[in-house]
Amino acid sequence: MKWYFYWALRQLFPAGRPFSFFALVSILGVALGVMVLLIVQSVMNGFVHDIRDSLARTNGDVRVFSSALLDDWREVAADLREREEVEAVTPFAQGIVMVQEGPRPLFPQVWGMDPATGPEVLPVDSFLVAGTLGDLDDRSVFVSTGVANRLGVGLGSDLDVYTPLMLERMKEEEVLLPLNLRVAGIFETGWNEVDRNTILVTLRTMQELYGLGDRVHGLTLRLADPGAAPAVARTLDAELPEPLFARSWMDLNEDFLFVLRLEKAVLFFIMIFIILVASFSIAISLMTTVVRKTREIGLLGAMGGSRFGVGACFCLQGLLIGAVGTVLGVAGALGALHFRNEILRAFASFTGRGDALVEAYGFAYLPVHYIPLDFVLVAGFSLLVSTLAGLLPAWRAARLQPAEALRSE
Amino acid sequence: MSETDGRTVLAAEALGKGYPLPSGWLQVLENLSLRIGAGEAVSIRGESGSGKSTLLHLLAGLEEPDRGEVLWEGEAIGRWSAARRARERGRRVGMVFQAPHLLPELTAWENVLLAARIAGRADRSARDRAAELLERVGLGDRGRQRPAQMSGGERQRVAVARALLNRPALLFADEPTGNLDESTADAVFALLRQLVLEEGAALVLVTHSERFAGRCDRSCHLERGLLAGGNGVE
Ligand SMILES: Nc1ncnc2c1ncn2[C@@H]1O[C@H](COP(=O)(O)OP(=O)(O)OP(=O)(O)O)[C@@H](O)[C@H]1O
Ligand SMILES: [Mg+2]
Repeated sequence: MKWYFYWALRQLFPAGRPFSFFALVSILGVALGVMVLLIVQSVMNGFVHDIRDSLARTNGDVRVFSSALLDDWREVAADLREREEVEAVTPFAQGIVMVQEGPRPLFPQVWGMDPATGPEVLPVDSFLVAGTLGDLDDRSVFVSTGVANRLGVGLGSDLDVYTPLMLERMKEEEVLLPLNLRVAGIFETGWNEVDRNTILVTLRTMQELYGLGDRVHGLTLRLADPGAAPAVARTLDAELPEPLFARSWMDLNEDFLFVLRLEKAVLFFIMIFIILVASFSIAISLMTTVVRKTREIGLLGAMGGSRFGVGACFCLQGLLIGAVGTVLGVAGALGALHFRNEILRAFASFTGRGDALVEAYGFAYLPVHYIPLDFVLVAGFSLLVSTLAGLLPAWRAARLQPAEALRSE
Repeated sequence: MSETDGRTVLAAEALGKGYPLPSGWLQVLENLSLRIGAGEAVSIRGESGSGKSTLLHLLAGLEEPDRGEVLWEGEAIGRWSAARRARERGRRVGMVFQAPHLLPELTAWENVLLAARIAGRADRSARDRAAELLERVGLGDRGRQRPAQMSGGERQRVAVARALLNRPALLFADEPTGNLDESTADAVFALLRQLVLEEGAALVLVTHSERFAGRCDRSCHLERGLLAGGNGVE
């Protein structure tokens, strides 16, 4: 072992004591920085992951649209089903209607879903909080929790559904009566925009509401590999004939996903300052050591220690503090994240406001999602910054002339 | 006297060294020459500020002279790179100062062994020799103690053991007993003198004590930048 590596280690773990106090404080600083950064990132990732998940689940992996209404959709669907990357295909039609229950009108999105193939593509079953999938027929409707709450309807209630088609017909002096549908189910996707204002009907009902005949707006696809959605969408888009085009759920929500990524980047940038501050404490404690040990450093020179060795010793201390701190920080973060719900519950019961937490944020537990690259980035950054923090003291130590250092009082 | 087998281990030729002062120039050493044979013990005395420490630093290659040359066993050290000089110093030269300057985070034994680590040869035999030297300075059972747990005299004895670990041909001691009370100083000096004899190293001792100077082979006096008396100048 090189003498400077040895001395660096011994300064951190001196004889007769388990560790040096200076080193301990610096190590804790780094560990705290790394830990907080990783916890915040991972919980943030958890929320983002949940959001993306419900986005993907409510949108379907890929959608095929047509610039006009699709009438040969059965053939297109059959062709798509032939592809090996496609697991299931279902037609969709969607629009806006007005629903009324008593005096309150509402203008929800309406989705038309084919009861036969729809559930193969979208996990409608898992969205249902009341009712069963089999109850959806051409005279019934599923409403989202938001719609149910605002209209004050429940299972078995009747809804009057008014469509834009009525206005068309009115011009031709025809009167179309609102469709009376029975609420057969209430659903919640976890995707707020949908849950606030959506109703779900069978495709046939939707076609009737919008006067589509047998035509649909497009097709929704479920892929064998959901992760391949953007790539598959690109290929389909290139290969499908003219009025058809394909978009993945990510393309359809590009702006929103960009905001999520931006949020994460900004958070990372802000939190990284914790590690920077910790590195200052390393620099200061090492600098103090250099000043405190000036004569010892001079003596090392007199004993044949090179300037490089003297400098390396302090640089290595920065690196070692960074390494130990990073390991502790990563371990601490993993531990805290693993017990996050226990910690949250303990905190809630300590403050006696557990219910308030659930009410305000709509969650009773913290989601978490581990992204290995985040861990590698944070660990690498913390190691780099700690080593850099050792550079200034190292430079000062290496610059000391042994003769002058020995004379210093 | 037990000295010289005729071989010169250390020579200084026409050394000159000065320092800039705010008000001019301080010439500390002037045209100073010196020759020390293998195993010889030479004491250097002089007023405070006469340049004894400066001379020792020049001889040990810690500072560079303005003029003249220092030779270790016939080799001019001024021609070496700073790194080479440091390396050679670690192997051929031992140094003891007024304060022991032990590293506080190492035990006594580890402090002694550090000399071998720096020279890149902390092998089995170096470890044994460190323990043996501690034994010979009378601290055989104190190797695991930290400097903070030792007295001033004990620490200085550890420093002596450390200086001798790499079997240097030359030992420089700058007032090694200056911080110690009289009886401890006597004991440490006696030990130093004896070990140097046993090891066959040459000793250059800066001291204020006439008694210690008298127990060296040769005694010189540094005055106005020149060595005088005790056949200091050859
Ligand atoms: N780096 C320096 N810059 C300026 N002057 C210096 C420097 N180093 C030493 N001197 C001066 O050189 C002179 C000799 O110093 P030195 O330390 O060699 O004296 P000394 O004989 O060892 O004294 P003492 O017995 O008190 O230890 C002193 O006057 C000192 O002030
Ligand atoms: Mg002096």
